[in-house]
Amino acid sequence: MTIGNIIILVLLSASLSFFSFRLLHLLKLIALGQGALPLDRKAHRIKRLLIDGFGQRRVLKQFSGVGHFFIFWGFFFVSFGTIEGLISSIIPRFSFSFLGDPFYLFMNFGQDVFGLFVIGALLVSLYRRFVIRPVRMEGAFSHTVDALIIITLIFVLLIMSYGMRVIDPKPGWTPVADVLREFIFHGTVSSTSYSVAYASFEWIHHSVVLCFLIYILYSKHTHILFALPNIFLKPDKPLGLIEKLDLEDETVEHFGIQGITDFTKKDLLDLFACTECGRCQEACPAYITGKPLSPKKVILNLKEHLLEAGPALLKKSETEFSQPLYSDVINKDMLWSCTTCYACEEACPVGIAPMKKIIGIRQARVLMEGDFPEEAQRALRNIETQSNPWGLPQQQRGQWAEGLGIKTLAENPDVEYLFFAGCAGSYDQRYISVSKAIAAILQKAGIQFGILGNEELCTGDSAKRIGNDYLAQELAVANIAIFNRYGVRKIITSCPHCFNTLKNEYPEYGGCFEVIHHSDLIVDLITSGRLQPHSRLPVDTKKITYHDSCYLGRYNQIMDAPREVIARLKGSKLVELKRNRENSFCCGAGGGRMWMEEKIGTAINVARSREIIDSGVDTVATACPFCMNMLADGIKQEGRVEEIKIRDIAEIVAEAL
Amino acid sequence: MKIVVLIKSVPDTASIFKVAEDNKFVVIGNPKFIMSPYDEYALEEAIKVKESVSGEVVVVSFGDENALEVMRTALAVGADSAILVENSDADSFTGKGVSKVLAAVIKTLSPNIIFAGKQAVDDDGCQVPERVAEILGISHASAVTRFELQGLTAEADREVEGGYCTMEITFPALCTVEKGINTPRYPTLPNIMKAKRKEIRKMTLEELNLSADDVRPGLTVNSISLPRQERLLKKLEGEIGAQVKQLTSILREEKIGL
Amino acid sequence: MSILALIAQQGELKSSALEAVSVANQIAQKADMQLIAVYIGPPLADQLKRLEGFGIEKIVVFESEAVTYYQNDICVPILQKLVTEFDIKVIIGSATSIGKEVCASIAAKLDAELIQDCIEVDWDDGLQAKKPIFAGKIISDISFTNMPAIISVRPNILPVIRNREGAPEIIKREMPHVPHAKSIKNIVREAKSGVELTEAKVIVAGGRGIGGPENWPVLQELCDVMGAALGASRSAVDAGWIHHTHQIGQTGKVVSPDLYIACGISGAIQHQAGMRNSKVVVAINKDPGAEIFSSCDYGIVGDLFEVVPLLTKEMRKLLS
Ligand SMILES: Cc1cc2nc3c(=O)[nH]c(=O)nc-3n(C[C@H](O)[C@H](O)[C@H](O)COP(=O)(O)OP(=O)(O)OC[C@H]3O[C@@H](n4cnc5c(N)ncnc54)[C@H](O)[C@@H]3O)c2cc1C
Ligand code: SF4
Ligand code: SF4
Repeated sequence: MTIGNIIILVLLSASLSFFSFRLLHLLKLIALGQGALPLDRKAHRIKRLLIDGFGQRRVLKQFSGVGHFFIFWGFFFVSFGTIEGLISSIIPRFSFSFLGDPFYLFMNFGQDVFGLFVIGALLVSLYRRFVIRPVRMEGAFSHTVDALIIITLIFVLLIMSYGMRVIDPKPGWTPVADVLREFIFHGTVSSTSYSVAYASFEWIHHSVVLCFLIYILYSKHTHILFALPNIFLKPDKPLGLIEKLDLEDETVEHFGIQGITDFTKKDLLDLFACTECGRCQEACPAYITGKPLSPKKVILNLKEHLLEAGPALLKKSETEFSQPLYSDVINKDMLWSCTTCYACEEACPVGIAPMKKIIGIRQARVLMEGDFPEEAQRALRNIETQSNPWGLPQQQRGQWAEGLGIKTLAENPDVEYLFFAGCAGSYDQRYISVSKAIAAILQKAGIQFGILGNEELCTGDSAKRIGNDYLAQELAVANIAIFNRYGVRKIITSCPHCFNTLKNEYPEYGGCFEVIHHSDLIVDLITSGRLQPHSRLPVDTKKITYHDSCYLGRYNQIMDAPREVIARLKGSKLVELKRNRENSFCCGAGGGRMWMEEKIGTAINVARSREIIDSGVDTVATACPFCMNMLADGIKQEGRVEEIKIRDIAEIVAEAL
Repeated sequence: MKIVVLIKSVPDTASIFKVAEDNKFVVIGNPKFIMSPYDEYALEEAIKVKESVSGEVVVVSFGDENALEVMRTALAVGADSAILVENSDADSFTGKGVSKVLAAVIKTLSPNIIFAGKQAVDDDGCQVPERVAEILGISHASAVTRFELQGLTAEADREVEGGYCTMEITFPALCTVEKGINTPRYPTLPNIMKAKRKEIRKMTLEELNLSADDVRPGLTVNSISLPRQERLLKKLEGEIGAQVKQLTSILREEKIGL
Repeated sequence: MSILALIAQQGELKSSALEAVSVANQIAQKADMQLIAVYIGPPLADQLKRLEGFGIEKIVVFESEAVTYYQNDICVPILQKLVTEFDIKVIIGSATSIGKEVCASIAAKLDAELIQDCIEVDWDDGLQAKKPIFAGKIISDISFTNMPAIISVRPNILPVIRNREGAPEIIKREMPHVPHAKSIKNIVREAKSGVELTEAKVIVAGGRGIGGPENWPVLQELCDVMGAALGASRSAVDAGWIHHTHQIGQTGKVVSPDLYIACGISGAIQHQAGMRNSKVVVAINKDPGAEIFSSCDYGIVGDLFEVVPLLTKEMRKLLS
């Protein structure tokens, strides 16, 4: 061993100790969270890791993601070479060639080529960050410095490794290095004559690597380490499930998220996996319309709080309470602006869940403090007494179906389907016409169905997402008891919120039913020929668009059925809105926002309505009562009632029968 | 500071009724019983006072077993204890009888302040709290819209025809409250759970030394009618002028909003 | 045996007192009892003349500037004495906020039954009254089986009828001195125009159909005539035509007036959530298919700019 070898060894050990020390600290912070890390369904998780992680699926949704794709893979290859280089500086002549030729040669090739791509991508990213400055990247000054440091480090690292490879060629095809060598030295280089240059390159390269190792865990680039595990550990549950709290457990002292340690370990891992890319923020309807909520900010504030409060928390005994998050870390307007549209979680390339954290904090506000917007309290009280948010008489719930020849299950339980009309479908005059359209379609297709009438209760979606898990659970249990009493097995819903709750949340209470949204049902009926619409859109409908409901689309991946329903009708010209399908823009009603005033910024429904107006359509099809109400209001507010009609797909079909 | 709140359990205001054979009304479906909304304001005011000085809040009610749930709600919201004078026939008592029952209970508690709603939204009786105060021989103020404790006295506003007045109240006293005096809080889950375990003290008329004579009603209901259970949905017809005339004459005849 | 009419007022005779006196007169005639009236408060001076024509035999007047307010601490003992002095069997007051308090107090003292807020009173071998309960969803027809019997009558419902000759005998008495626990600091009177939405008996509300903020006067005039409060739909609020404090609905105010007149409001469920407790709903809308027509009592299909001014005119005639 030479002195050089020893120095490298010492430096590397120092740097690795720093790295491990920091890593351990972060892991300890993560371990402050509750529960275990989920590891079920490994095969599925691995598949997701391959697609979303290594395949960078969500990153690649945006063009700028291509750059990251190269950086990611470049980093992968470069690390291979870096490790090899480091070891060979300690143990001379070490090489990974023992891994076998094709592989080793391929890795060398990868390093060489991807290195160039990475340099390109870095330049582009510098250009984007400092010249284009996309909003989603905005952050504190320190973040910019941070980015600059990292970019510089990688940049230097790559240049150095090219330098080394130019002087000392590696086996295999390394086109970039070859071209450079050809260009600078016109052919071969005698490595001995350039040994000083090589050594300097090597030293600079190694110093950078060692600095990088130390720096990385103190910077925002913790994601380099945590992103892949985070993708792997992402909960493997239905997206639309907000898991029920264990309210029976007498030992639990508080419910919901009050302090940072109330989060699960995976939630805390999220904080370090965040790349601060801002994709979530860019998709967030609350943020876009000027509310103080940004899902990215939620994650960053929590991370900052954890790093700050962490050391003290680690010292304290486990039972001790962490500082409350509400107000300082996540304030009132951030908390209540969320429409639970799921856009943030859909957009996040590394499997972070900002929305679920928001709901957790809401739960604590509602269950522990009774502190939430007054209008929402009113809605919940109404649900408590009359089982609908408007407080209309429970005894009139079934009135909408009078005179339509629809029987209740009490009158005739021997039917195949329960049609669950939902609160809006039972009380809102506008949406009652959709309930009637669905009933007409079912009758026409000869489907045996019944309703619950006055026995039907609110499913509890709004209560759940406002944070009142107690009320939501009561409703779920009561509804399931009624379903079971009549032996219900298949449920048709017209409301995506009912659909999501019945389908994804009721199984937690032992209520497992086949839940079908009316859009899927209609497509089935048409496909199977049981329904034959005389295949024409109404004459005044020339250009039609479909607005995706978050709870149907992003939550439950029902995006084709409503479109297909429209496509089946002749004369239809379906125009897609700018933001559609899983990238669709919320109407503003979810998460209980339907029952609250929207006082800050532009109204979300107005923003979406403008997009609809800009698309130049004369009809918007919807498949959700809240969307319908919100968009109707937005379009009214923009003064376009005369020009743009809002119809549920069921109404369109019923009319074409 | 000891505060008593009188509360009543009533069918939710969105209930729909029908007439039963014995000329009583019944609620259709499974009626949901709620705390009479004005009582919610009274309870909230009591808890606010309690929180500003130390003290305890006792809720007292007279009713059948339906009242239990409402008493639990009161405990969940922040009352310290609850007393229910249970009587399956409570509905047939008039204000005269009910006030005697409540006064008998309160006498044993000697509170500094009694709060109550200005009326119960079922029978709209508007008399029980004032009667209780008179039986107890303490002063009272009705339909208070603002209540502020000032040491050993309180300042309160109440509505009078065409305005409001401010009064100074010395204790013991009873106040009935108007809506809008405060915003009733939403109960928290731990308190709901605790309330489930708290005991609701039940009392009978015998324990209170009340005889049937004391509480015998001096009223009988001859009949009841249900003029408006649902909206009439009457579209007026004819010339606009005629429609307007028709409307005004309906409003006049039915004495609506005049 | 006599009937006592309570003039529970504050230095000024209002129609509510006269209505109560009219009812008392009617009952006195039917039951063949003498009618006594009592007034306690600041001097009424020549306003007492307005109590002629109701067949009142005696008016007992306790006047004092010091009693700036009708206090039950003072008046209940007075009333109690009068009841024995004149062998009072029936007491009739008016169901104003103060009137109800006084009636409840005296009822307790006499251990008598009381029906507040009656909308019809009759005598048929005993006192009978009709009273709305459950916010008017039910009307209960009740008889008193015991005496004395006490009722308060809802203001602005029953007519003022003067059908008897002769002036009452005025008996002025000294206001007794009562050390009272509840002292009145001051009285603030508010102007009539600021009727609180949540407490208003009548609400006239406008929606997008109003067309613009410049048109509120059309509704305001009707409000003024009817003593109503002005409400609005969220559409009108969102358009910036009126402040949010006027918004009625799910996310605005929840109101429960006796009469709700919706002008140019489509009746969306989010609006209805705020006004569903109104006793009577009148809708004025030019679209016969508007949702409001499936949840109102009386609907007029027409342009509000034509209907409302006419209604204002008719109402003014009716109320003057
Ligand atoms: C989260 C949320 C909360 C909401 N909260 C509330 C709330 O608290 N309160 C509330 O009111 N709404 C609320 N809404 C809005 C509600 O959904 C409706 O959009 C709103 O009530 C409609 O108001 P409008 O009836 O005035 O307007 P429109 O629906 O536009 O109706 C106007 C009506 O006026 C009629 N009209 C037009 N011109 C005339 C004329 N010259 N003469 C007679 N009639 C005429 C038209 O025929 C039409 O029926 C809320 C909505 C959401 C999404
Ligand atoms: S769920 Fe929607 S509204 Fe809520 S933070 Fe995420 S993107 Fe924003
Ligand atoms: S949460 Fe996800 S989408 Fe949002 S900034 Fe972090 S990594 Fe990007």
